Amino acid sequence: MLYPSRREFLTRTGSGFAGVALSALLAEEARSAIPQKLVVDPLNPLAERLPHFAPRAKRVIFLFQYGGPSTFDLFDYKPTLLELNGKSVPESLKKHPDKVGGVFVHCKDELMAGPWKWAQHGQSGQWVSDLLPHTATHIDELCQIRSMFSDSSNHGPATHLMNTGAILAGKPSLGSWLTYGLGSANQNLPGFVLLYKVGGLGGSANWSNGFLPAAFQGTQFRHEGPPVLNLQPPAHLAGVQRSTIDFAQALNRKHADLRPGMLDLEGRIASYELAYRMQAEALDIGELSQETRATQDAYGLHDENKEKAMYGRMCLLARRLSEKGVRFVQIYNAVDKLGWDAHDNNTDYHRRNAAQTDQPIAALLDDLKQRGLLDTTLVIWAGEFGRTPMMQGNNGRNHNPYGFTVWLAGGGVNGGTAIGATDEIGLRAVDQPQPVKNLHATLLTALGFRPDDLFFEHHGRPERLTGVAQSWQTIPGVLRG
Amino acid sequence: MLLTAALASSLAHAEEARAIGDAFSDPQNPIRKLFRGERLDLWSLRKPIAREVPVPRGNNPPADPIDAFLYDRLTETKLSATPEADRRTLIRRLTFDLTGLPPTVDEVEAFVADTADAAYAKLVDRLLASPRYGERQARMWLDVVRYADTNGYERDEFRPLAWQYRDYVIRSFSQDKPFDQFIREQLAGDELVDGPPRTPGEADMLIATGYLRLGQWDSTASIFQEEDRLRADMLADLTNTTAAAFLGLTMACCQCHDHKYDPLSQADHYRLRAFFAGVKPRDDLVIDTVEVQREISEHNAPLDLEIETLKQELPATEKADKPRHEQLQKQIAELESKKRRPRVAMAATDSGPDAPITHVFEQGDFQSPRDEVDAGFVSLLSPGAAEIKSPRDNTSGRRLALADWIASADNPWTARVFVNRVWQQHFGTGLVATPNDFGYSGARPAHPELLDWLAIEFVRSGWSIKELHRLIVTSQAYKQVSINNTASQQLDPENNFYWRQNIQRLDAETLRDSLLAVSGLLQPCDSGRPLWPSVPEELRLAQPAILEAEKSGDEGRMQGWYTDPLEQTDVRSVFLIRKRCLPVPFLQAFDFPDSIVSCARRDTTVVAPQALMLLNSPDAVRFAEALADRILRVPGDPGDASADDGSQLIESVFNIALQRKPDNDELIMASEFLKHHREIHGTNPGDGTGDSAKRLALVDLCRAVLNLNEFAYID
Repeated sequence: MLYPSRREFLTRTGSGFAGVALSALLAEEARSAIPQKLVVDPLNPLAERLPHFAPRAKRVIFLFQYGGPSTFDLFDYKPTLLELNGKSVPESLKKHPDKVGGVFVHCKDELMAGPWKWAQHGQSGQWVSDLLPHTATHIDELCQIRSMFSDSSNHGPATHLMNTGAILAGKPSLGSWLTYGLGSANQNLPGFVLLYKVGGLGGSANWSNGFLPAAFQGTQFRHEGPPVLNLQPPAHLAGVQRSTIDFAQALNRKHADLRPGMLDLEGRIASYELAYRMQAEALDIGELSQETRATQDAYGLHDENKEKAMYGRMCLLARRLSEKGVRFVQIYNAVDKLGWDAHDNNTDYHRRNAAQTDQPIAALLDDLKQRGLLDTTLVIWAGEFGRTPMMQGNNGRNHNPYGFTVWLAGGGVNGGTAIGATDEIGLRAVDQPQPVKNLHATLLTALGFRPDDLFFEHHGRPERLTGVAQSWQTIPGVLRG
Repeated sequence: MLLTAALASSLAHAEEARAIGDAFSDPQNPIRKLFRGERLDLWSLRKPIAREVPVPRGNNPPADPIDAFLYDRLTETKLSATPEADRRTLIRRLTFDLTGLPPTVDEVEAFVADTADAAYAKLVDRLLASPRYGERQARMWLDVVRYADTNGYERDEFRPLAWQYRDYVIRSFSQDKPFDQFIREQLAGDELVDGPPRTPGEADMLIATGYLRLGQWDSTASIFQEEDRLRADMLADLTNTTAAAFLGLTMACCQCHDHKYDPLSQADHYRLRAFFAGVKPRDDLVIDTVEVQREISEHNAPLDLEIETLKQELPATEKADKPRHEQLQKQIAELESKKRRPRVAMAATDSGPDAPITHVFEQGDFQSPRDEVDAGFVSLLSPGAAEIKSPRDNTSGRRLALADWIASADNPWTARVFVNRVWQQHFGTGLVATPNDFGYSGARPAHPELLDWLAIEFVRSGWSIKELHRLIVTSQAYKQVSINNTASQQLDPENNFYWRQNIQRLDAETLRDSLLAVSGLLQPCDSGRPLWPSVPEELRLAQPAILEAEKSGDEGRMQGWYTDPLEQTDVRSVFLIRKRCLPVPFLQAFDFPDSIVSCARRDTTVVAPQALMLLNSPDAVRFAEALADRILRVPGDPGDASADDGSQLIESVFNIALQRKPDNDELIMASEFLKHHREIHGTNPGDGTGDSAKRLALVDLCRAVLNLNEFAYID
């Protein structure tokens, strides 16, 4: 059964659950022996819920980098690759210990360095290429994990893995798990919002609620026009919307009164009121004109680069949604099927995607900080995998699941750090290799969850974002103590 | 792994165990040893026990066998069944349950007027014979086998022939194909047919093997040398789906390790998987009958002859006589186009008489093969290798052996699992509340004797699904009122004892189909390729694969969205495209399953986006407008000019949409509503639609009524 019944809910949570002080709950951070099954109120699935212990972050903004950016062209500085430009892959690195299918097949045996200028930034002195001048100014806030690896070298499965923890489609996504765990801090908005022009490869499986209740599915906000599809009726019916709903609700009330104890009927009555309130609240969030011109400019809203302006609108919407209590906002950057997927012309692809995303991301970090939200907002920047240092075609790079960089910033994150390392050409993670589930475990931990204890019974087994119990670890050094 | 290694060695005792016969008491049974004698008391392991229908005592003992099974526990709990629902409720409930559509106003009136004793039985007969019955029942099975029309993953290409399987399922239910035959055909239809099909029935057996290909398929895996992973994923998925769909077993759990709760070892997953080891996708199996194939050959032979003659002239003219050459090519193309092509199916066969070896994968990892396993049934019941006889020299016979084992009256799960699915359709919840899990972590049967009796009756009736429906819907338990009463509610709030019927929400397809039906838009359609309804461009183009197809072409891979004209897509939802990366938005909003894993039971979540969809979406508004126009079209409707309170209009709206008359309060409210809305629309000439205020007000009323709980929930 997906939901417990209302009665079961009340019995299991007891009357005082909501009233338990946070401090009392946090005192219990010390592992409870039996993980408590999370109980969702069927009439109010997005009611705010407390995590397992004091969270470092209360919400997430996930900047998904579509297509697989070449992270040693952006962050992971590889002087050896510069030296070996045009040469073959060193024999010692050619051997193929990799579990995942061969990325060598479509590449030349020729290393290719990018044409970027590199410099150290901030007090931490971390390297960033000149592709990301704005992000570089925030380097002391970023924790880079330079030793990620994926279980597939293919977009679909790897994108599913990054978003849902499994390469096979069908599992709940990160955002669904978090709204399941935390509910929403704003009952007039969905708990999990997506912003995209082009969504992830593999489609809605990337923001699916999987086997979790549908209340936790991702809702798309548009970056232009009415923020949610079907938010309003056609204009000529807009003036009668309220009285039309009122008529239906009056009949619904009578219908429900004749069927006492049928909570779905009550739930549906409530859902129409929520829809009506959402209409107002979402429209308000979409009003970017409420922001100052300076803010709009910071995000690049009026930039002549239309792709940047679009990404800027999405980043600004992400801040406005986060501010209003949405738990999980995810932005896909792509404007076409390609994104960072630079099989040919690596230089152009990276210039284009960097130009699109760099300034808005920096503006978002600034804005969150100025509003005092960065401390409690976890910002993640990650693609589905990285790219090969070997050349594909004449100036391209193939997918590389063996080693790539992601970064985190904000809530509870150790800024100015870099964890793990790839080999000297950026091909494979060699120091502290991290599977995607460790990134997920780290994220859950930042939000106050013991990853093994956030589970959902499905088909007879407890399903978790991080898979089999204790098969993961939080990545050491990412979170402040 | 350690335990499984122990199991593999004890499988050597298989023959011995078989000789002893009773797997449960046999000390050598590998599963008994593996789990040290525990886990053997799982209820579903024992075959259904044949029992006499109880003879209840008391004042008014029920005559119906189902009611008799429910009666004692009901009275012991001091509950009593509620009275039979009124006739309107009954015909609505039954018509929705059996056909997935609302009854028409005339049908309701006729049934209400028919006071004969046999009226209800006649209604059941009529609905079971309706072509709409198969379309409705197919939905349940298509969910269970996670049917879709596309591949899933990155490109999510269209499977142009998958619909034949969907139609096969509809036909099978409509024809009341015995369920054991339905099982055999899907698992091993190809092994049942020797050579080209001789009858349409044999052609259906080949189409049925589409079952083996319904899972997702990542066509890009080969680009990255991930074929082995893909094959392993495909086989795991097929194994898990088969176990869940037919047996109610959670085999996914033992892909990586022995089952945590049930008496299933890791090897059990791979033993089951081995039945499918030889499966080879086939897109070239001709499904025309021998006779039709002969007709095609006869039709094509003279054309081929002509083509051959023309072709001989080609080389000589290529350089010497350009115009003649071109003319020849044109003629050849014309002749080719006149040829009849044989119909093929999305099907599967074995790749040959010997299947590849199946290994247990350590932790489920296909790159870590360990012990070899033979194809074998659930080890606890049948520890040795399955006895497999190849029916012919081009196939292994493995799937036929599996199908025979599953489709057997001796299999403890098959009949129970299926009757439970049908029970769930009629009561909202199964007798076992977890239809895909009959294990320890699943629910216990609420009424085990009744479940067993139904399973045995089902087999005894020749696995007739229609008889099973008839059995259930003629019980008083089914026919009673669904409304709560406080006293019973306190004793049994979950209605475990069936003291009332359950209110059910319309599932996604039934909701959409009902909206089409009452608004008069529903187009006839009973088979054929899936139709592609219009979907907003921004949703289409947000899918990278569709974007690529629409903007730069996909080299014929068919990864796009191929919108059909609106007037063609107002058909029952079962005939709409099921595209994995982009389910039809209207259906998706109402808990349409993801078509990725087996769906045993639709969710019935209530969320705000559903309200937005049903109030505001272009389709929702279109349905309301069509219903309004349907009412206004009725010739000589006095509501048009004279009756200003619109009472006729209001009655029509209620009658068509809800199959009842409005009561007095509703009439007054609705009439004030119309008046008020006419005023608003009348003072807003800026609406710009050119519609009369009267029509718009009626549209508003229709929109409100189509959003009612009463429309979406069936008593």
